[in-house]
Amino acid sequence: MLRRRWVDAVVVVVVVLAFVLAPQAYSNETLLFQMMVYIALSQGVNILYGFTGYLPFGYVGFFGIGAYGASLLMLHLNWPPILALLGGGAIAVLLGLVLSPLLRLSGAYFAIASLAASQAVYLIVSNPALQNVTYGPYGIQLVSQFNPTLSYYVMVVILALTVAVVLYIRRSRFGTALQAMRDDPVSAAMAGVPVVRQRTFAWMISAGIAGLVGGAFAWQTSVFYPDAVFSLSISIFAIVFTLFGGAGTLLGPLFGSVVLYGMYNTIGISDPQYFQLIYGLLIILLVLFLPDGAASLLKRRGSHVL
Amino acid sequence: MSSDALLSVVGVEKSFGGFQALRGVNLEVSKGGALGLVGPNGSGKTTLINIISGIYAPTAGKVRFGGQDVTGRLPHQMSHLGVNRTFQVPKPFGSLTVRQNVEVALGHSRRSGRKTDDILAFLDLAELADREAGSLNTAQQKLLDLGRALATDPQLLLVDELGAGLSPADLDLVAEKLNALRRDGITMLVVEHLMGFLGKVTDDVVVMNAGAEIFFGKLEAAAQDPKVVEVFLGG
Amino acid sequence: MLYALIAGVLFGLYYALIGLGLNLTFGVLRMVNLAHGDFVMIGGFAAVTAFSAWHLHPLWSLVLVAVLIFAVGIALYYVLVPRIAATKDPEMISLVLFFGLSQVIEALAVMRFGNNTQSIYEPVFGKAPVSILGQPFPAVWVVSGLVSLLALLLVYLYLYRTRIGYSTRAVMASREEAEVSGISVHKVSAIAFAIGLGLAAAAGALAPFMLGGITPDLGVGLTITAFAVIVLGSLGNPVGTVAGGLIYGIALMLMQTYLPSWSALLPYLLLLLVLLVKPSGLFGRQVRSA
Repeated sequence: MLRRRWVDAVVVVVVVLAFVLAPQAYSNETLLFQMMVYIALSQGVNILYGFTGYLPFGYVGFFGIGAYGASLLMLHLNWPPILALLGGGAIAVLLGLVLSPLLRLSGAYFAIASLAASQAVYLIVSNPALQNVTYGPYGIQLVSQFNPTLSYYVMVVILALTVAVVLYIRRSRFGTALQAMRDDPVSAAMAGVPVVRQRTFAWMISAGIAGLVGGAFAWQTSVFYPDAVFSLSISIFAIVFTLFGGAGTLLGPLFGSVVLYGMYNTIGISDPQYFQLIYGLLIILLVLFLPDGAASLLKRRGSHVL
Repeated sequence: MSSDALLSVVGVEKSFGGFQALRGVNLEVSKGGALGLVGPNGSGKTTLINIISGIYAPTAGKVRFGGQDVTGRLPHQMSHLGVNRTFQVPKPFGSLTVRQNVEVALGHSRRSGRKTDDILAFLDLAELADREAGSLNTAQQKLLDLGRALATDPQLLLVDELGAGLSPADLDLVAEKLNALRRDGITMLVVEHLMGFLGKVTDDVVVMNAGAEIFFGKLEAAAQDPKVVEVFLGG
Repeated sequence: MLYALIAGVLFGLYYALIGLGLNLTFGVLRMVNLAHGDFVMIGGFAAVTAFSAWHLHPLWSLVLVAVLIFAVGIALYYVLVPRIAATKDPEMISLVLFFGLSQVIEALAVMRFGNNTQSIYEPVFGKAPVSILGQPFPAVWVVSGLVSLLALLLVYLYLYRTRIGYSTRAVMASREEAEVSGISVHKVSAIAFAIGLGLAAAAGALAPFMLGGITPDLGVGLTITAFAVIVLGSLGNPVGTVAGGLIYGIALMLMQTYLPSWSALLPYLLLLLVLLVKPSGLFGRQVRSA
């Protein structure tokens, strides 16, 4: 048990150090920041999909509401950025709570319903009728709060927190119960696991992570339109990175994010359709030939994947 | 209603859309007793088990357990109260090890449970403790279902076709284990097609047909009952 | 009000056509084809391209593209579906797989057609409005409504008046039972799946008019809309889809008349509402409590 704790601590420290030191070696801080965003988001997807089997196509809704929540708290109530970030996370958790009845639906219904929910939130936030509150389609400007360095390090902290949460879940009774529920919800309930409550809890943790990340993204970017933080592609990236690396593990989604997001930046930014084509094909091939992701290749050879 | 009934099912009905699976079932299981539940496929036995264990809420009627009205409680609540079950088609946590399967149940039990090792030893699963449950064969998975149920320290155990698909030797073994559990004071409701097996583990049987009970009494007497005979031979 | 209601019926029939294919697929396969909307998009681009290149009338394009996509559907079924059906969790696996397919189609469409909205701006169905109950409607709305109605009728006849349609309904009721009773489930399912895609493409050929234009990213939104329509009318029930489409169409027109800035929200809210309140659909019997 003690040795496991050490391993966990080392993993968190390595991740933190990697992103603290990376700007010294590589000058594109924006790319590093966005890589952290996607690692954290794919871990958020991982908590839900990897441990409960629920696939949140609409995950971006939490990211977007976190970005908007944090921004509006800064703009309307003059909250300092870090406090506003926490506020954005809290609002995302609240949205998760409001949407938690969706978790009564079975897999495919849930996936599509969550997609519909995120679109609904986007259409509400970006609606011209709410221009006085959300600035509608005209987007957010946080110029006076712009602080790329501090927001970068705050993102490192959020990432570390996310990694720690995933590690905790993997090790804990809660995590085992989630996996049991994913394998068979009826058996889990008969084993005494309060299935809906546990699932809701995982959903809200997952929502909170996306909300915090969204807030950090808003702060770092400081000028953005609603479609930038509600774009379905954000959900898609997080899901593909998770599936590629291997859901249910810590390192899988991390690996997936670093490799695929790196790839996206070399080929995708100017012609995103090529990348879309590649990951579309990747999804099809993964599902047909490697449903448990890259991590399962190692597992097949007998290694334990953290 | 007799005072020593641990479980009583009173006028329970269940319909799925237009289809009425149960049309008013009444039965009682006395504390420490073992009641068999037989009937043709589709007569509603498993539906009844699902209702008692909280997986479905009945459309009408009441379920009482230990004198308490437990109608419509959720499965995990029933589990916490001391009602558990096995499944006709075993439902293991396939990606967890055998040991973890039992530990999940033990960890969420609200009752003074047994120890994981004792349960695995009792069910002859000790050697498989670190195997993934999904890789076990059906008979082993059925035993694991039972093990998970035992981990929650049930007062009432609902056994849904544990015998189906077992070899005669395994059947005797399982019957023996159920009888051992009974001696430990666990009350049972046993759904089974195999009459020999049922005779070994139960005192009385209820025969169901088309969503209602048509006979209650000794298994041997059931074979003589014209209504029962008609259901099994004439249907 | 009357105008909105009639327009709602016309659009409702059209949305029923969009939903019907998805529902057929779900009915026989118990899988949600997340790429459904992308086949509508393909149909749309086909009609636009055929019109600008050869001046082909959209109704001809509709027939051609439906047949073509039907053939594609048969091939696609045999490549993908038996493989998924053999996995541990076909419901989720298929969802992810079709999602990947949708991404591939969208990416290819961007490469071929670019990101701009394309449409057919010439009045191919005549300039004169058609008058219904004294209200004038664009001719193309009426044509689309009628074409959709015809397609719905054909599907109804297929399901209820042909032998293979009878088998299809048996598969919808229970795949296992159908298999046992000697129905060749894969053949029936492949045809239903292909009809589903063909219907989507047919609806697509009318999309330049009914949806205002075609863009490669139309797919996802249309899939959700189609899903909303069929959930409204209950999944797996093709007749309910028509009712779902009509409700959706009328609600959409009423929203556009009285609350125009919020009308885009409608499919999403409707879907969430139905799923949370009555997941079996407004006209469905209760489905298994899964």
